[in-house]
Amino acid sequence: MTSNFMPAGGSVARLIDAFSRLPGIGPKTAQRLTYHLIRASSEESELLAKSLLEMRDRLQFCSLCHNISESTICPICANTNRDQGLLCVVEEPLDLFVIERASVYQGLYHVLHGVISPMNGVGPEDLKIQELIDRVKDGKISEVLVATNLSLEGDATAMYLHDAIDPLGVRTTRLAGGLPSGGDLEYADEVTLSRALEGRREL
Amino acid sequence: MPGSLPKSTLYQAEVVVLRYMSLGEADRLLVLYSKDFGKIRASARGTRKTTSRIAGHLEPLTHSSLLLARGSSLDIVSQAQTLKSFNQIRDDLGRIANGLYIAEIVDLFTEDEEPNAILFQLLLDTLDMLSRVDVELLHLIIHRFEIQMLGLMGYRPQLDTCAVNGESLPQNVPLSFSVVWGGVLCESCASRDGTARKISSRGVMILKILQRGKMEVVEEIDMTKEARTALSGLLRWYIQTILEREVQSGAFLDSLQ
Ligand SMILES: [Zn+2]
Ligand SMILES: [Zn+2]
Repeated sequence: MTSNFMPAGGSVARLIDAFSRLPGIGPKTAQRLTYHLIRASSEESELLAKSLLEMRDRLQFCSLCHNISESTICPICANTNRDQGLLCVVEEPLDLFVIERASVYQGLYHVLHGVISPMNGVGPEDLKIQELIDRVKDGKISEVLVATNLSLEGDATAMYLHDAIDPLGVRTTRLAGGLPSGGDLEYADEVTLSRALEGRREL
Repeated sequence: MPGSLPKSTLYQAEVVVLRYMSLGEADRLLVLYSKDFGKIRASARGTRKTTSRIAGHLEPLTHSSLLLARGSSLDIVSQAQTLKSFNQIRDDLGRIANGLYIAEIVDLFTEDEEPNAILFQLLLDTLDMLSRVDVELLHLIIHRFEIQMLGLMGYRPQLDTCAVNGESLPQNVPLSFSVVWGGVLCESCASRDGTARKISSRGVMILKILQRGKMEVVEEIDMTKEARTALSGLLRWYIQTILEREVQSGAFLDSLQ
């Protein structure tokens, strides 16, 4: 549809198309971004292109917590000042980022890369759950704080983790207090999130 | 006014939330099964934000009363109120898995805006039973739902007589179940469908009890683990053959058995 308005066709239309594939960006915003880059200096486009390629190039995951990292062990896992006995389980790297920003949590993390979502065919084997269980079996962890979204699927995942971890003699807890059900963690403000982390309950 | 959606800008709908997907910046696209309008899709703005006042009323398997606004492409939820949250389902992994399974089947079997008030009631009753019954009975509630839903969708399996020649079905002989013929086949007709599956006469009897659906009788069904697996496999196969696709949530449900 947008190509009708494209005098230059080809490369410009392709860029608009590429932008509109990004989450939260509709065709109008994609056009606006593209026209911005047409008007801006060529350095601006080069910086954007270079950052994208560099990100893909260097992107890897921490071998312990599976967060996005530029090294085999991420800075959080490598930081011995953090509480090595407390492990916070999140759905996505973005959730970890949001919790870090609230700067009340001092333990370690584990990123599942999703949530058990039966209707979408996502089961425990599609997530970093076995890796989590292996970490817990290693013995240093005394509490697993499940910070998946407070949705039906987030709750189901929390219960599944509880059932898997409980026999290993390790406590599992869940975010609580102040966080309403239904919302995504990534949108929580820092005050609410801090309260939810502190007021966690037993699973 | 059951039937097509009202033309007015605002309308009320009693729904069960089947599922949702993320939409745009912080919205969700909801798939709802409503009493008066059948399956509807609607967007719920800002429901991924933790400040949303309606998100809690729009989680899957919630029975809610909604006020919707007609939109150019998608209708928009403007108000939501929980009628029943089925908390006992939410607190138990096995019950959630069963609940999501029936929600997916309803989604897969229905077309948008084709109302079926009996199906809506069956869905509600089944969610209510899933929240109340003993864990041991969950599988029977699901199979009761499956076979009754099939009936409502026009796939009521013939269980009283042979689906090919109409002969009465003898006891204690091997029978088969055919999707093509839509029911049970006697021994001499079994060869009429090479894809038919074996079923015992006791298996047929259990299917009949589930089809009639009287809970006092359903509750009395006693099955071995093997018989359970066979029944669940047969119904899943029947459903998936009709749908020509997999019921995704079946895998997780089976993994919990
Ligand atoms: Zn790490
Ligand atoms: Zn026959």
